[in-house]
Amino acid sequence: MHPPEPLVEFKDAYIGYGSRVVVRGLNLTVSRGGLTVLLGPNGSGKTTVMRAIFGSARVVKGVLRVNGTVSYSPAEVDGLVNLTVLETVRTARRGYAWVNNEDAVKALSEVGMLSKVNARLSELSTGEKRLTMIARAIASNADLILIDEPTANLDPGNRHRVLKVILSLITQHTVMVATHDVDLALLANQVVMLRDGSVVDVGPPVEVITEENLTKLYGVSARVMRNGGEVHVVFPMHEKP
Amino acid sequence: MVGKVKIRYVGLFLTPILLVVGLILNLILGEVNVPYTCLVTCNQVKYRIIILDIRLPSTLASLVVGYVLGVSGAVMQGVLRNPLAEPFTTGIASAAVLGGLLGYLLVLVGGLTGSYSTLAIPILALVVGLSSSIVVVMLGSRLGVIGLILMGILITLLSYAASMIVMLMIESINPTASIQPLYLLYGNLSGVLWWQVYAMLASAVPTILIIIYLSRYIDLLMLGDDVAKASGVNPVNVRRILVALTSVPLAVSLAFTGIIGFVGIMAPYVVRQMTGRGSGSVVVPWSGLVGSLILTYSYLASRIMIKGYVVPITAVTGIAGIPLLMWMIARGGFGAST
Repeated sequence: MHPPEPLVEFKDAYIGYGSRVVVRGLNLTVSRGGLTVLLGPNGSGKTTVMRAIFGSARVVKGVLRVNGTVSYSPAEVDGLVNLTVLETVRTARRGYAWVNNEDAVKALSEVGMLSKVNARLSELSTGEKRLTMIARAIASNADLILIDEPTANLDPGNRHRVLKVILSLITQHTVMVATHDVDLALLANQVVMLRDGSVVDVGPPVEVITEENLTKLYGVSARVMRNGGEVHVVFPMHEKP
Repeated sequence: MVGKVKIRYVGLFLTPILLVVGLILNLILGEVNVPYTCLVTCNQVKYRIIILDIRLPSTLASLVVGYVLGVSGAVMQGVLRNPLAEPFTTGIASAAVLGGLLGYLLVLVGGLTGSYSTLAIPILALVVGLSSSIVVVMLGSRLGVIGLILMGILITLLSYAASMIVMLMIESINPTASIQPLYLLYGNLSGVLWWQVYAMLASAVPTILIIIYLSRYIDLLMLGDDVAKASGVNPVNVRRILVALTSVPLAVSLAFTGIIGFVGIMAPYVVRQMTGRGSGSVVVPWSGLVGSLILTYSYLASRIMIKGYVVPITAVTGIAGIPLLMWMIARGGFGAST
């Protein structure tokens, strides 16, 4: 028997826009199931890696193989979008067809947005917008769900809601998340650390979330505390003597 | 909540009824008031000529042009992700005016007479208007929303500059010439002929049917190019196709009736308020209907407002539309709750 084909495979890929290269020498394999987290500071090339997967960024050199359908949820839905929540989810596509009403409503109930189906997207909080876009991804039944900065600019309550949805999402879908949130990376099966367009380290969180790597990634000293099964990461303001 | 829903249904129900009433009023009211019984059977030849040859083509034109403007406004606002966009954001209107002026120059220089001279202005308005759209679509859409808007602004500036020079050339040839094509600036539905109505219908029906069929792609564009691309839809091509499709009936309408402002920006606002929805599949067809409604009553007002005169349409749509728009913006912000 052949091993199952990976969903996404980058082999020494150089990615960019036009002639500008943003990400250099990326090697990454995403298999079906679980959560892959692209971790790194702002401007490290995380979004560019995602955009390469659906063709908004170009692979200049190297190889990228994508075997499946993709859904993308951006960090911000820009502009003055007048769509309602339900209409937003119904922009999802399954193959060449639009998602039907029933599947859209089902997806919205999965993320707890059923009470807001007729609200305008522009009237929602950032967290609710993200949940709506995640529902859109669920409705599309895509093989790979890409979520860009799901927890950025959220208050603790909304952050909790979004994280819970992502945790339940990864039991049934393959998810890739771009974030600078270390707590989110701790939930992953695989973490890709990016800085200035280059990979710092790749592996399961227990192996790669180290004080050395985090310090390299963010340029400030980090402390990783392990307490039984729990891991806490802090970036202390004052160095201990 | 219940009250709001009820108002919505009443609005949806009333729009077609009011439209039909408006069309009938346009046929019977005017400089001469025709008895309404004449709509069914008319013994007097005078009235029959007024209704069939004079008022019916103009009234149908208000229906068609209103629909085209409403649909185009809804498409542009969606495609450009901007509730302040309007059908002429791509510069097609000023390019059509330039075309009209070039047509007039051709008449003067070439000494055209008869039907050639009456056709030169609308045909060149159509050709230059469409060409400007092709340029905008080809060059601008690759650069995204900003590219389209920027190209539209540049086309407008270029058309103004060229129009100024053409007007001076016309004046140098014939200093006493009243510059006829300037009627294109003010919008005029009176005097529309039957063949022009057919031309407008022929350009509008197929393009608008395709636009309505494609209208759900507008929703996808509103969520951003990346979201569209990840869904397997090329946003650049969708924008190109939709802008190109609107430009055909727009250019034809512009050539015959001139620039009619505010309908295209107003109709989608009204529809979003009325329906509480934002999807192109709802907003596009309904904006057409509301556009027809606005233009039909504006045309009626333009003919009966000042006895003996026809007020330019854009003056009427502006007077009715600008306060409404100001109220809506003040109430809901820039599309935030509209």
